[in-house]
Amino acid sequence: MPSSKDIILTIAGLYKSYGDNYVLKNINLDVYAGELLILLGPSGCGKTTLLRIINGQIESGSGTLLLSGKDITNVQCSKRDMGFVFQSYALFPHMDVANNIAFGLRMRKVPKGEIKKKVDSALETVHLAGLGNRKINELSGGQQQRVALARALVLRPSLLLMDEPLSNLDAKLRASVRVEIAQIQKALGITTILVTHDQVEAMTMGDRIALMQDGIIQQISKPLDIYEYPANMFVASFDGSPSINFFRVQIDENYSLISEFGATVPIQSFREYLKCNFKVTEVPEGEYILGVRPEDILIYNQFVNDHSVAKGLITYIEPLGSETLVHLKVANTEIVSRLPRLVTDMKSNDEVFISFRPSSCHLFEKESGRRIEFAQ
Amino acid sequence: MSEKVFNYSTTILAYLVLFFLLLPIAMIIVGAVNPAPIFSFPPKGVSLVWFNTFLQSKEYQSAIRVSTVVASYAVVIGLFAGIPAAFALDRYQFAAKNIVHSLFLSSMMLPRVIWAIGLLQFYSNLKMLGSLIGLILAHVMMVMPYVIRMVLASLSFVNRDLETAAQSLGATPRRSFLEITLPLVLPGIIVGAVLGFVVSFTDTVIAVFISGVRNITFPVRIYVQQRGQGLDPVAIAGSVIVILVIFMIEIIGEKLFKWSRFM
Repeated sequence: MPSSKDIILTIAGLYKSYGDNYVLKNINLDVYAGELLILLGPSGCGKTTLLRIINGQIESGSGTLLLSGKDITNVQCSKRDMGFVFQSYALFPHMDVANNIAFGLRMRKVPKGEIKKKVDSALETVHLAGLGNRKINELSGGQQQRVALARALVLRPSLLLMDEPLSNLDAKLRASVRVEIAQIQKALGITTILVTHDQVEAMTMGDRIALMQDGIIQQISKPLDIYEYPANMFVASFDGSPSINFFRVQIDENYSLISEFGATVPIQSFREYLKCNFKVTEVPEGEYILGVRPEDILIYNQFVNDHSVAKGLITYIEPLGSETLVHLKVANTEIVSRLPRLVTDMKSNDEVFISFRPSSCHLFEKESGRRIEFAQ
Repeated sequence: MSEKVFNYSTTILAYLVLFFLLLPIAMIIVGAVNPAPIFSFPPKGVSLVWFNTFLQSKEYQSAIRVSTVVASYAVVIGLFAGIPAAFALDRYQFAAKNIVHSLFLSSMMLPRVIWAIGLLQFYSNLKMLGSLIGLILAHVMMVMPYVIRMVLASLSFVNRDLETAAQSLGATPRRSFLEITLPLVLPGIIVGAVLGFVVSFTDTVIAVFISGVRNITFPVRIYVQQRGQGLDPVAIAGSVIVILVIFMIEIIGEKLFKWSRFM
């Protein structure tokens, strides 16, 4: 039984291109035993391609893949000790549920009696006991997905791969199946890589998230760290709904922060708003991007000396019951603020003053988009 | 026009058309059981004498044999060529794919008499007129579109992920083909084969043009008989037997595979 410090899968220097088009660039990843790693990203970012390369369905370009220390880069898909759950489920329509699940066991020449036991046990695990005789087209979408999962799990692979398992289910079912999959994964302790484009799924199910865009892994962290300490502007804006607000700012030779809405604040004073503390002298002058999440934008009806950062005009108010989204125009930028209450004291076209919550803002490099990170 | 009247009219029209289409077949059956040597209506009685004569007749039995042989060879060769062609069309991208696809189906598109005239010229130049090989090859050309079309139809039911899934579960490519792809494609192959057989067996036009005296197929035999001696009740009885066999094959196929969904 591998300990949680063991690495089940190592990907090193993986590239994949179709002609001149690189869909995966320099992928480096370690997957730890027992964890649920999420591959998250917008469509076209390469996450499904990566999953298929791990399984051996697509040939890797250059790079190595190690499974429990063994080099499997050139091993055929059918010989890799992995289970794969397809987005389309890919259940065999001419076989019933039990035969679908038994398929992999038959390929391994497991004796008939044992097959029956394992299939029944797998059906129990996914809460489909007794449905072995059903035809695939008689099952609901949710049931089909469980059969697909059972079919992969029954072989007890070292690694389970799931490609957008929830995307074909209706919204209501998604919430409950999400929890079930996570519970089954933890109960079996099976190392899992799950591909999704849905950030809510990623945040709630994953032990770690690898966020991808354009074939590159942008950040690998625990879910909360992705939110609190995004590596760059893409990560910051991908995670969080409504997305983070960006402002252009300038830092001049006097170490003052000049915002696009006209405020000039000495960095020394502005420091309290920034997430990371840093020495004033560590930031070279130039243009930067300031990122502030909607929940960190505070709104005041009047100018309050120490705290007001800028003047804004309310353009639209969205009451959501438990919270309210206030859309504002500040200088030339449209921003969104999220207030955790019903808003009765403001309306459209009101002029207000905004401020930032202390220790909440992120500073990003303008060219690369990287977040500026400093020693604590 | 109110909806009810429209529905009634459409139903009546449909039944009229059906009646019109089935009338000739009904006439043939009436003619086959009528013991009188000349076709007359109403029939003079009901008798199986012509069926007996048909089964005893050496010429007709030989013709049935030739048609069966030609159709069987045509289907077997058609399957060997058509199944891989269908797979290639389904699985691969290549230049001029649409043109190749149309080319394969082209013998269904043109009137058969055009093909017959062309083959007449072509075989005449190659001194193949009247040969069995020539007849079989011409029928392969007729059968192939049916095979290709049906196999393509059933291939569209085979999601590419299915074979990948089989491999991810440990099946070698060969195993995944035998266990997953083949069973799913088999209905299409069978439908294509049976349709192809019927098309070949019942072909009159091409056979009349290019089959010689040595290889007289069943439809040609009947045609020659009718041209020569007029409406022959033995031929009519034979036709009824063929119709009944085809009809039974249709029913069996429907019961076993519900193959009407492919057509």
